[in-house]
Amino acid sequence: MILSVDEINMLSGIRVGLREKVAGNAVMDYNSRSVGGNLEFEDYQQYSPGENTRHIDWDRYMRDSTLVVRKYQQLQRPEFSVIIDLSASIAAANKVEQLKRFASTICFCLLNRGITLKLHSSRNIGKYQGKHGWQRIQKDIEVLSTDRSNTLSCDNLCSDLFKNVIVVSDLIFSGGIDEFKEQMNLGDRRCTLYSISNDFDLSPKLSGNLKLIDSQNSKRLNCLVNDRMVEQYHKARNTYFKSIENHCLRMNWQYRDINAEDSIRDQFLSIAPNGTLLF
Amino acid sequence: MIFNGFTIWFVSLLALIGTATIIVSHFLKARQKTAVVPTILFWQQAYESSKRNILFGGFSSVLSMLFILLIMLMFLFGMLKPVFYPIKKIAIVIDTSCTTDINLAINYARSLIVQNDKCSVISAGKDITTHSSFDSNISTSLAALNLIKPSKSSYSSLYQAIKEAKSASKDTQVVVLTGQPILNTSNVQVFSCPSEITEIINEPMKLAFPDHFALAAQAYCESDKRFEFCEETSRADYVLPDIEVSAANWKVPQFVELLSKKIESTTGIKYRTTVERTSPAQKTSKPPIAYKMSLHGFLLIAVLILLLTEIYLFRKGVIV
Repeated sequence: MILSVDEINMLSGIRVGLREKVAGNAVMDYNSRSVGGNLEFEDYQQYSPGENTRHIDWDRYMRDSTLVVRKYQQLQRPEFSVIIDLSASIAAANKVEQLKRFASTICFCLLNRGITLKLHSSRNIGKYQGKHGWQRIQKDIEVLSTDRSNTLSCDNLCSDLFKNVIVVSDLIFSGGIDEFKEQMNLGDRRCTLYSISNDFDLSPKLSGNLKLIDSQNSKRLNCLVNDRMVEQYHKARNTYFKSIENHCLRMNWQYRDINAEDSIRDQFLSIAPNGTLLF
Repeated sequence: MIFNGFTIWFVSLLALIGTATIIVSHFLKARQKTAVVPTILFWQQAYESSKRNILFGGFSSVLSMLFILLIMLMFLFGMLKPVFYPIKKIAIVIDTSCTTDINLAINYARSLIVQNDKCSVISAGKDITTHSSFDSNISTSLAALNLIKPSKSSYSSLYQAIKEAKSASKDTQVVVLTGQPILNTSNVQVFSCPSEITEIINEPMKLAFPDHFALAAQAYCESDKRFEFCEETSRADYVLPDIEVSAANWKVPQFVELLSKKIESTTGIKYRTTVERTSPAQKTSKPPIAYKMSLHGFLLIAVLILLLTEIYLFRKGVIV
């Protein structure tokens, strides 16, 4: 079990919603766990002969003798693709467990609301739904976390992705922001990016004469790490993530910074302050 | 090749000590640690923006150590002012007159003999003596040096000795060890070994002599630099007086007085002489030709270029 019982109980109360209305989906709140499409009243329309008489609003006819029919909108349950990044940079920062737990909480919230989701890493892992899906997805995430050959690239996943995409990653690309744009080629999909960082990223405990090795491409850098270097590191890191955030704004994607050191409760207080997880 | 005043063994010892010190310090220094980071992207940017000119700041890699070794050896080599001789045959002419510090001259000669294959040793005093030829081995030549004794006379047949040395072979490099300034010589390398007496007699003097005495003094002193004569002479057939001046009481005024007495006793004519000092401190400080041939300046520049290269490579991150 990746999540404890207490955590699951806490997450059971989290609702899931969409940020805006898009074609095929409506703004909705999944309070009900009922399976199947819901109908929601949209508007009245003048009755035309030949239409199904079951939709005639007889109360209105009794009031003002006009025949109108009630029009409903089909509420479709959205489907999500969750992309988990378990590339070398995650392992290098010792946040495999933290990322695994956070991704699991997101998956639980979606499955708990009866939403179908697909899990991806560098390949398509599987499709999950309902309680049974939760059992399966936990095992798959565990297996996935032991595989160190993962790289985050959406190129070979794009055909498998649903319209709604959730990315759980550290969003670190050695090629910088350009590589990020190239790899996160998600077209017009609705996207939520969770950037996972921990203390190793935020305040690296490195000092002295070091040979730094890039976990992703084994490139090396010999340098003297001192306070000034760390300060410059923070500046460079902030600039990078600011660029990612700006790109997300332009693409109408949702960007959230997650501190992996925080408890799940604290993490959800920041991303779902009113108890609704918006995507 | 010689190293101004240092033997090859001493130079080797210095190089060995320097090399050993650098190698030992290389192995004693704190080792560079390795750290795997999610990405070096941010560190690279931080490094670029906080570049510092730390000379040998990252003295850790073997490449860096080799650079420093090279710099140290070249610096040492340059500081020793090495002199290269393109010709292997060296004729060492040692002036044995009292104007030469004979011990210093013999030391110079010894280092030349040790470092060169073919040396001949010629001493030039009253007479010219060839102590060893080009065919002599090093030990013979070194032993020959011990036989050279200083003369009390200021007279030296140096120019004649140089002429003889030059005539021996066309490819002979003549090295003259003397305290006197050498004039009008080509293809001659001079090491100055002045004695205390040279310092005294090199003081420019102006002597007032009648014409034939002026000629006698000029011929006797074998130098037109040390004295200026008031009158031109037309009597070139004057017989030189045989005057022996000991090194112990060598003073110019005394020499002039002695010369006057000798001329008077020889010719019966008494002449009044006056000695007058000309401009002071015109000491012969012409640099030896060997200095011009020294490569130390070039080597020091090479060291500077290497240092700049080191800094450049360090800034580029090629070496640390």
